[in-house]
Amino acid sequence: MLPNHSQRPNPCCRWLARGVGRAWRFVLLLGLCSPWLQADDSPALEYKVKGAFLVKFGSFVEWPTLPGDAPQNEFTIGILGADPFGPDLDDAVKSERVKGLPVRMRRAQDLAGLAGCQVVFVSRSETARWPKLLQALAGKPILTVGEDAGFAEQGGMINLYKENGRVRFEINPAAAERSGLKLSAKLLQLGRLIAEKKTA
Amino acid sequence: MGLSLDQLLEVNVDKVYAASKFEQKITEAPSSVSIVTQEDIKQQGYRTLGDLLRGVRGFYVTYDRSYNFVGVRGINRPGDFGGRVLINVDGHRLNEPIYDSAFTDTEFLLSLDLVDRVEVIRGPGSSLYGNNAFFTVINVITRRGAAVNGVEVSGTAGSFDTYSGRVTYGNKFPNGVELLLSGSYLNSEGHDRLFFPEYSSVNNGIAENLDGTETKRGFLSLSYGDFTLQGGYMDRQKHSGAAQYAPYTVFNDPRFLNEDERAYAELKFDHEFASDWLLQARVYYDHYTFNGTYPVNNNAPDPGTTTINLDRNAANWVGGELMVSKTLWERQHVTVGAEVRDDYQIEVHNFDVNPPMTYLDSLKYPWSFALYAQDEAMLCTNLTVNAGVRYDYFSTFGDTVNPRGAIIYNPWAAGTLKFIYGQAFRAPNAFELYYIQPAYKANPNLMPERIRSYELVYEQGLPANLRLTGSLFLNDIDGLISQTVDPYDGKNFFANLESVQARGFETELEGRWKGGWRTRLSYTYTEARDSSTDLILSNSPRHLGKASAVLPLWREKIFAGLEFQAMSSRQTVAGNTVGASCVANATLYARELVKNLEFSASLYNIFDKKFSDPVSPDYLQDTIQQDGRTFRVKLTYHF
Repeated sequence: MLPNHSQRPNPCCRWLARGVGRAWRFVLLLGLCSPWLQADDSPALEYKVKGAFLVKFGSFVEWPTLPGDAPQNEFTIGILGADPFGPDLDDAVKSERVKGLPVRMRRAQDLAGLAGCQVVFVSRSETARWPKLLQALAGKPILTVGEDAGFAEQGGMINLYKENGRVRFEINPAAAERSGLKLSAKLLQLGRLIAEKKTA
Repeated sequence: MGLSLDQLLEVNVDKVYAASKFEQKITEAPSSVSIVTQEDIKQQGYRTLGDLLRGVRGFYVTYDRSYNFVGVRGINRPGDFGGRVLINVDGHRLNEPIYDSAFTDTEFLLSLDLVDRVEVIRGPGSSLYGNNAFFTVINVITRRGAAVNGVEVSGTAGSFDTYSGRVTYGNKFPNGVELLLSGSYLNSEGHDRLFFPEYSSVNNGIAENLDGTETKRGFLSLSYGDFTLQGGYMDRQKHSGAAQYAPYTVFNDPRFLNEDERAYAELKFDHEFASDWLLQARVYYDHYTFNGTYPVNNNAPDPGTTTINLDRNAANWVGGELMVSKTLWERQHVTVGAEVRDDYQIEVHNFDVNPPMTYLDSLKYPWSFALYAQDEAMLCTNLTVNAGVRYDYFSTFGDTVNPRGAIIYNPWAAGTLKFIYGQAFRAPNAFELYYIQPAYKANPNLMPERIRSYELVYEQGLPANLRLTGSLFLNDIDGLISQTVDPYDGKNFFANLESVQARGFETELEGRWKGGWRTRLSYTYTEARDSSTDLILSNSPRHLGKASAVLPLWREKIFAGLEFQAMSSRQTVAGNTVGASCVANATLYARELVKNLEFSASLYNIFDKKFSDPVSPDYLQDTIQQDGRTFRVKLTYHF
């Protein structure tokens, strides 16, 4: 479909962002009401918002504690496939804590490389592989987040989509329940609830 | 992170493609842009592209019971077919070369159900798109197969025995192939009795059962990797109760019929190379035929009987476009492109059936090519310059060069100022160049119409998710091709007659809130004057006001859509005045009350206001009355 080639990194803005305090979140925050952001497109604002959701979701989900689990010392978010977020997201999560744990990003081309992640983001590049991926992830205590139409219907837990120029999310509560994840009432209230397709 | 979940849901990440042929934020586009999405289409109950455009700031759409005509900022010339607005589907041009029309009523190429979003790019766009990008470029972006994700079946029923049905299949397969396939059918009996006082001597002015419509549509989009193959087909037959081409034609004759058939196929290749090179190549084939069937009385052997006069007009053309873009020094986005097109058959043919008599049989094969370049340069973090120019050569009249430049400046928080200058053209079409018929004579010396446009746009984000847009515009048009009558022989013909200056301002306040609440208020003031007479143009309202709202009634599952569209009085071609109009529409839309089912019920012109639109001098009528209150119900089911 339409190409997305608007991702123009701007060294000037990078410098500014670093100057403000290494974390782009200030730029995001200030950018909502400042000219800086209007010029800063690295990566596209859409992925800054999606990245922020990815980290935020962790605080609204409870993971089951399985007997024999070693205590966790970090909260890991995996990106499966082509990375649309870029290094900005790593910078941004440095100062973040989810469930009291420091946040770390990990990237891999297959699931084996993401073992131990609490959240797995399935990039749009992997859409063709959903059936296999979601089957492999089924029942595991991993929050799956996608960004392509049909992800939640086919067994993904949360799907980010665009509507009226905003990033929204839809939730498949049945999939989360099967994996023993508890989604908070707040999350369920803000997202659009999706029923699963029987023949995925 | 800085923002809460609730706040993240309200960050505007909207993008526009068609303003610069790459995706950019609306505030960075060298144009004043409106976006209408599939959500708007559902929640406001839009049936046609014309319905949708009636809701867009600065637009008004008139109807002569055969076609819709789109007016922009005070200009909508009775007698032409809409060639000053370019309409693209996924970047593919729909305007055909015989009448220049792109169609916005039931003869639009797509069912609106297949539309993901519509980008309305105001201002001249010839620097990128060439012909027809005169006042506005409308880019219709279709839904992806993955978004349909299965089978979707939809049916509607509405006033005047109007029924339509659609079946769509969409999927993205594990091997990466994405497919969207859709077919739809619409049948409307229309009004069984249309009254035209001008024809009171014939059947008391009543056209009986002469408002029917039948439309068939098909659409395919198949993509794999960097390749996309897309094809569309539309055929519509429409009866003409209003009987154009008076006084030659016969009123209230059931044989009076207009048929438009439009089809295209396009293969597109889109590849992003390493180091930010982007290549887009496309080749296309396009087809258009118009079959007009006119009962006429002027050439019948004995007075009092009628014969059938036929228009059999056909156009076939092929073309290709190559576009390369690259980001340079992280601050410039350069785009260059070339397009070539061969209209290998432009045939206009007009004849009587019995006795056989051919008035016109013209076959031409014009061709054209174009080169264009555009650069978006970020001079400073809050100052961007966007400049482009396109050279077009047409075998019919020669060449034309059209530049556009914009300065985009962010003076303070969430505020954007844009100053835009652009030139554009509309080439004379085959109808204007070659058409001869009892009522018409040709003018092969026509030159393109030209516009120079100046616009100052100010966009400001406000607290509480409000957004304010203001715009001052000045459009200078020269060599406007207008239909006129030769006083010696009484025949209609087209000439580069008029110069027009339209100036005015526009303002819009838009709000979007959590849970799906939306409102939009806009007002447009225009003074469009003929430069030689200083008189206000016909069919040009000074004031256009619009208000719309979407109210989520229950859990983002039930919505009420409300629209008000007001227009001040307009002059007709004969110098009369049609009164101001105010139309209110309401839609109740529900989804997922029953699993996988969407339902909507709409009322249009709720208060049953009577109003009329000025029409072309082709009609005996000076104005044609519009529909009163009508309704439509719609069901869509996803398998």
